Amino acid sequence: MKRLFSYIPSISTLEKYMLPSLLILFFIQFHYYSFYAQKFGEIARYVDTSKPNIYKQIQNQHQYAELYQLANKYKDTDTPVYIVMTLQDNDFLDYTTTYYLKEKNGTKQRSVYLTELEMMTRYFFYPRVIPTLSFKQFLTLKLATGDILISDQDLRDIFPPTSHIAVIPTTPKQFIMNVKKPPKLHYLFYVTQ
Amino acid sequence: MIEWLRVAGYFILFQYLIGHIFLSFLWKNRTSNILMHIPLAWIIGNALSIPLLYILAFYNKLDIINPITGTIIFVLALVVAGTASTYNKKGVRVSVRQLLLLGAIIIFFLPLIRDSLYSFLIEWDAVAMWFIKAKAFFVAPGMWDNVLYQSKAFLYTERSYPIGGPLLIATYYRLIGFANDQTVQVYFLFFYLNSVVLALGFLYERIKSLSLLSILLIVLSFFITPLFIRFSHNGYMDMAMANSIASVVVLAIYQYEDKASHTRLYLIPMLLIAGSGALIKNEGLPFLVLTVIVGWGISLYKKKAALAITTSSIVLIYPLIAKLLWEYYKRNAQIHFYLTTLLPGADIRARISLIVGQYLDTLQYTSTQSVVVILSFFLLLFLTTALVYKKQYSALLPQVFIVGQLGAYTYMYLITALPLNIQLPSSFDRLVLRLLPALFIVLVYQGEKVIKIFSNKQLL
Repeated sequence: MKRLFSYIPSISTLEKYMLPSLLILFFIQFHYYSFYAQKFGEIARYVDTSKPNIYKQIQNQHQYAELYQLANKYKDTDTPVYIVMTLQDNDFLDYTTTYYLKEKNGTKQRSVYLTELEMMTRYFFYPRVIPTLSFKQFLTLKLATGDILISDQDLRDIFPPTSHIAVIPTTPKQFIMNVKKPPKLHYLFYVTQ
Repeated sequence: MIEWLRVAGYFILFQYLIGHIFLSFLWKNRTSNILMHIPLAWIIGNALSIPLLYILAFYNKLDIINPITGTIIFVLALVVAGTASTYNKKGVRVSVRQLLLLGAIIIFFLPLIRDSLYSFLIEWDAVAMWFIKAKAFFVAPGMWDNVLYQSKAFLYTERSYPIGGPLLIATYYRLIGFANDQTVQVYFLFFYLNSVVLALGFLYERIKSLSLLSILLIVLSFFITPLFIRFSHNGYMDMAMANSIASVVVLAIYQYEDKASHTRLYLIPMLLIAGSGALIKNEGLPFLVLTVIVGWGISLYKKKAALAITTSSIVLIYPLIAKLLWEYYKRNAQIHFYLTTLLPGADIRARISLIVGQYLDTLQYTSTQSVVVILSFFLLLFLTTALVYKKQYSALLPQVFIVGQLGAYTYMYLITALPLNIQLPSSFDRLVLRLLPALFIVLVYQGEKVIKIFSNKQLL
């Protein structure tokens, strides 16, 4: 028993002066940490660990879950899949949506527009490379039944002749990462005829 | 899931075992404190694995990593680690107080461990740079015939960046036969947890008058800011770099303090860790140069430099071979580095003004760092002043790493081709994050010196 008590902190004089400040500092910091710890628990409580498909259960809460499911279905097939980016313009360039390509023969830099939607598409479909089309390119595209379109706009609204495309429904997600802004809306379609 | 988790556990344990074997043979006559031994074994295990993965990737031989070879190598490591422990005469010192601290840390961080296992991958750099490359090295057996390095569609992944992180992730994927980007995040959480344990061990070892309660409060207060929590397991490589830098600073302090004939015992792991740091992130290269200068400088100062410099140079060849193979591949595949030139007409003076402004802003940026950075800054100023007045210049040595790295970041900002007014605020907080664990070590080391001065009443 005496041995057990020997592990209870013995406070030196220096610590006596230091401890109140230290405790307050710790509680300030812990206030942030407890917020994260609580948030982190939410998705873990949602997952049913007794079921075998835990990876898919978590992935179903991904903000691009339907895109992930689409990639799983089509990445090893020949079904044409296109990304249609209607907003592909220098007006929309910023650090988080842009990468810089250095020209091979010199020091000239060229800005290339990149969005989270394209980034996630390339990631989920890897190693299959999905072409990105501008809206103009899309208008001249000959679509066939079963083709898949991934877009930043609801193409049904802005392009009436595409009324033969059907939207793949996306569901709102419960667990948005608390350090990240919610993603921009995106739309998935398949060609019906 | 349980199987994936078990494999992740073995993979993590494997790195500890490799590091433990290395340290047992290298430090056969040195007693280690378990709180220091664990994090140093972890980072050395990684430092030994990463160059090997580069070499395998260069020769397109990553296919040899599979569940069967993985199991064989793990069992071998387990046996050798057992033998190594008996070979080490003085061994690792374990006390109940140390185990209590370790247990408290593990319990405290359980929510983080759980979240790292149950969260999907979403943050930009993780998806756009590190994890897509990991997929590339999972699908292809190496650098050659690799779609990511051949197709222009993947130019945004910054293909010239080092691939140490992606290769570690791909190794895990290969061990489970599936690209599980959720469970592997726990592996990267260990860079954070080991940084915390390293800080804990160093404080425990240095300032003996502190109670366990104070040690825990100090370390946790420093390490649980939103910035640390976010980057501890979101798929970024910043904590891996932070862990490497802090470990090197600790070893440099040991090297300086130990007997002259022992300097190589610290110089060897220092150069290995810094060498593999250059294989994780670009900034690892200036850090390696800094480590060589400081490490060799200490050896020369201690006047028994020949053996230390020779043996450490031989050890350094290992990560350098990996680096050279990667450079050869990039040259061959015409992969360019996007930061190589200063934009024509860029105004250096305007840039310096922006950079200094950002540094000063960051000091007071408490929404992600809380009060940690500003408090540490003023504490560092106070300690430095006290040490300079008492002419204890040698205690300022570990600061060289912090100042040197800040210098390297400043240089990078001066030559960056990205718009500086956007890049600076969006990247500098992560650069600070990489230095924070090392800063904690420096504060403890200098704090110990100043407490000694105070207790001798030299300042009063």
